[in-house]
Amino acid sequence: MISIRAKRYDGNTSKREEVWLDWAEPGFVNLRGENLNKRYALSEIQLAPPLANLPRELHFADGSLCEVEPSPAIDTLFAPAGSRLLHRWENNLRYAFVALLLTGAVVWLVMEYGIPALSKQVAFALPVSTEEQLGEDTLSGLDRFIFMPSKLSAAKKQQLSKIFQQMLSEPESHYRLEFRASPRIGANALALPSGIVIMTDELVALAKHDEEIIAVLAHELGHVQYRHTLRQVLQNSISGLLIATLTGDILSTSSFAAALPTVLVQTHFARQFETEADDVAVLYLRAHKISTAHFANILLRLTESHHAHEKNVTDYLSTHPSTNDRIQRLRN
Amino acid sequence: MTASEAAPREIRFEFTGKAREYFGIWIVNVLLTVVTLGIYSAWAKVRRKRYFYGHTQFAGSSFKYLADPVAILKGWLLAVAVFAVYSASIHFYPRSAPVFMIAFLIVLPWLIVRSLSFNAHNSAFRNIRFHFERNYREAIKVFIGLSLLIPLTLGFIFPYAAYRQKKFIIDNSSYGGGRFDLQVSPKKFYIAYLKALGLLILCIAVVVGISVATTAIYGKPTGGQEEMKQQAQMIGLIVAAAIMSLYLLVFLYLNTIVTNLVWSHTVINANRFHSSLRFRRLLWLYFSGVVAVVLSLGLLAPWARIRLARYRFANLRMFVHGDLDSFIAKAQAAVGAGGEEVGEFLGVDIGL
Repeated sequence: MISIRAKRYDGNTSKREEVWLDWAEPGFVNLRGENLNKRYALSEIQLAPPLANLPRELHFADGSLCEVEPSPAIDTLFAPAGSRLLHRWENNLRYAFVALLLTGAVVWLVMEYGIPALSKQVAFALPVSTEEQLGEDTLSGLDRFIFMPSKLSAAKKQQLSKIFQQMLSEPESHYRLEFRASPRIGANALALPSGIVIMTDELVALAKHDEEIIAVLAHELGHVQYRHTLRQVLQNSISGLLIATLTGDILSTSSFAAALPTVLVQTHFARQFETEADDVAVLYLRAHKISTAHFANILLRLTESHHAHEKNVTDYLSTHPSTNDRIQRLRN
Repeated sequence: MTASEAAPREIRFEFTGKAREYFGIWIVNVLLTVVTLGIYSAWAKVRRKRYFYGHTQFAGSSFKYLADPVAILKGWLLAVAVFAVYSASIHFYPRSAPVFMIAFLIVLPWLIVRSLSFNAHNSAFRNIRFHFERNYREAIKVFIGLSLLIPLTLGFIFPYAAYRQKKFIIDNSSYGGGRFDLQVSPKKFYIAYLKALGLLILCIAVVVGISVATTAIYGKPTGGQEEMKQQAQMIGLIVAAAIMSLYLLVFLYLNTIVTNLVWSHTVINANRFHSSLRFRRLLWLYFSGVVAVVLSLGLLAPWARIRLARYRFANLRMFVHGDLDSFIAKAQAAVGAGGEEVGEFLGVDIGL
């Protein structure tokens, strides 16, 4: 006969009793205490999944609970194979180390390939019209805060608009070019959802050839064509969720702890989109027999103009790949 | 001399978890959660809480966390659905944000009550579950009504609102037929908040003093415009970091003294709790914890967590009259986890 000592809580009062559990006959357990003698069928007893070296909890059908010291015998008797496997995995440092390496690999795979691929599928499945409202709202918001009306002459605007129209493969009504001035952001071009491309007067002034403008527009059209705004929102939301899940288990100050990895991942995504848009621009320029040197030139001049009145401190958090890298890619 | 006149016995709480042991549970939780795209998070949560509850010892017995992972999973799925609808709406119709804010305010009391109820129902000590009375009307009054009054009273009501919220949480909690009771006057909450305000003012004074001194020493405009701009940006960054740490510092201070205040005035069946946390010690634990976690890329997180739990429980005790065997269970209905999970997802942090 096997006997195991247990602490018993009857489930009706907070009293604790010392009892013995006896395995006297197959399929049954006898519970023996000071004023107690009970017989339970094994089917009336359920073991909570084993966890670390905590006492094992035997829950009886009548609502009482017995705590026994952990032992392989108890686990094999009551715990299903799955929960025993999980327990072994958690309690062996070598297996835990394997779990650690696997976690690193899986997180990297999901971030690098899984989330971008998923977002791409979803973004391309949604019609462009879903983003019309968002594009207009963004533009009016930008107009309120960073843009001023363009001071370009009507003739210049018309000439640039003509270039833009010619670049569109087919007449697509939702693509349009807008001109704005902005001392705040300087020479720049932006692509908004639903096909609005904005070009600042400062950029027009910076360009020495029309081909340079074409290169920039091709890059922005790349953003539009590949639905980068929507994909970015999707990728940021999904990765944000993943990071919150991961760090939620790390420290209770999760919002604080999660901020840095979230920013790093999101800027990483942003740089990938820039690279993709650069590739689109290069393809366009090659197809139209325009030298990619024009693109490189305007990129260099843009970088210089930005350095003249921008920060360096946070460069490593930049949403754009470094200009050197970009030009290196253009040459290849 | 009868039992009630006898001096109460002091019984300490103790946390006996070990970082090495918890590390295995933690890393397997993280891995399986990622691989199953979050589905396993429900099981992960149960294992984590069972570990922490199971290692919290009081009077020779430990606490138990009894939640069913499937109930938590349902709540999690609901939370994910709400989050997806919210993100999509905000993206396509940015103007819908206020609608969500109002909807969130309306369901907030429900979320809080549900989550407290779920948590209490699934926490047990000596095989008797805790219980939280689902008092929605009071929750609306305390969490929405009083919060709306804060701006109207220029913040004067803030400590009172905090007092009422704590009192709501504690007074509606019970264990085995004994009701918890927060026996403290709102005045003590005002004193605690005034102390925190004093610390805030002191910190701001120190920061301003240091920046004035720095400017006086290095402030002479040297070099060109470029350099000045760079310097201005550096100073901007330092000030931002200082404000962030100030906020955390004052928040931790307030949290420490309010936790002590609340526990030390909480009573159940004439047994009083006592909490003796010290701000400087907690500050060190949090600060060194965050540094260690960041430098180890998260690997020391289980250690930091265990260390904090150890300190917190080492400073909690109860003055007990008579014995602890006389709490009697009462019949309770099961509670779904929806409220708790949605609340956790949207960053509603509730708890003592």
